[in-house]
Amino acid sequence: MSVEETIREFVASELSWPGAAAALSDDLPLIPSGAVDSLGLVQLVSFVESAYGIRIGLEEVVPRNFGTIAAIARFVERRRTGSELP
Amino acid sequence: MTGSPLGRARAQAEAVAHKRGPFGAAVWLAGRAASRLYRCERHLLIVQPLEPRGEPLPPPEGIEHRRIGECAPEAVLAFSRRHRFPRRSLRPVRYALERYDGLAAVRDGRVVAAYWWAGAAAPHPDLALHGLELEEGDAYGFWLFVADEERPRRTAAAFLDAVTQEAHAQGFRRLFGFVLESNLPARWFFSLAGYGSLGCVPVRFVLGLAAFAPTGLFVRRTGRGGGPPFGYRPLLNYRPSP
Repeated sequence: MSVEETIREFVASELSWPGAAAALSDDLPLIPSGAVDSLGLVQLVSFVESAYGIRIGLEEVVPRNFGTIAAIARFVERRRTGSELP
Repeated sequence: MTGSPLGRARAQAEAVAHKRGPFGAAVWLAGRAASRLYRCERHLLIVQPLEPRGEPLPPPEGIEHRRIGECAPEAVLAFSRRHRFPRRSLRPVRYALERYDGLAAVRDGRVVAAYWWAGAAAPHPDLALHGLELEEGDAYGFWLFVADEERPRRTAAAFLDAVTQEAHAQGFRRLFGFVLESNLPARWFFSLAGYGSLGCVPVRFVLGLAAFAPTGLFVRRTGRGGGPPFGYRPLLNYRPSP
């Protein structure tokens, strides 16, 4: 399962997204759309840490890294390949 | 639970003692007492440019967005008393007297979310504390709260979107505010919602009567001599840019 699909599944099942998982497109802004709220964001960051074995710094939770599912996938990829250090 | 401050403190202490034991309750009580004497907070100043957006997010079923001035005063007071100011339940009335505006989310006649803002014409006392000077088209937002029971219903996102739309419709172009630096969920949330950070202002509160910040020395307002009867009044105000 790709990172995008894993994140989509988590948001849909754990964060009470009311619609179908497929409606969560990769470029949907997670906060403005209401897909994730403030506490859900903490759950999401914690999930990404545990699912991909990476440590996420407090200042890394910004739109570039966590604004959309696609941004999270790119962030995970950068951290996995070591092109971005924590 | 009794409504008196002493009664509430006693009930809380009993709840902590039940959970953590007598020693835990003693430590908790000591911590509370100490925080009344001295407390240091780091206020992270944030700002969002208010730009025209597309279609507003529809509110969840049963929710209606209203300007606070159009809500029943008793509903606003009840919300305030339930979630923020049990001992100062007239605070919304004071806000209204200061000509602050705001938006509320209402479900079945009950206010379940609220957000206030003040423009340059009706400045908020926090501005001096934070070294902010509003210009024409700027607003300072404060006391955003969404009731816990609304969380699974996704009321917050549509409410914040409505706030942005309403403030923009009123002619505001930037919305300032602050979050506690230690409040990670709120910091992350505002960052992803499009708010930029202006920097941190450390504020030291002493005995609940005085506040020291890099912006100056402040004393608690009483309402005597003009100005709102809440927040802090500058004694010495350096007002550096944040």
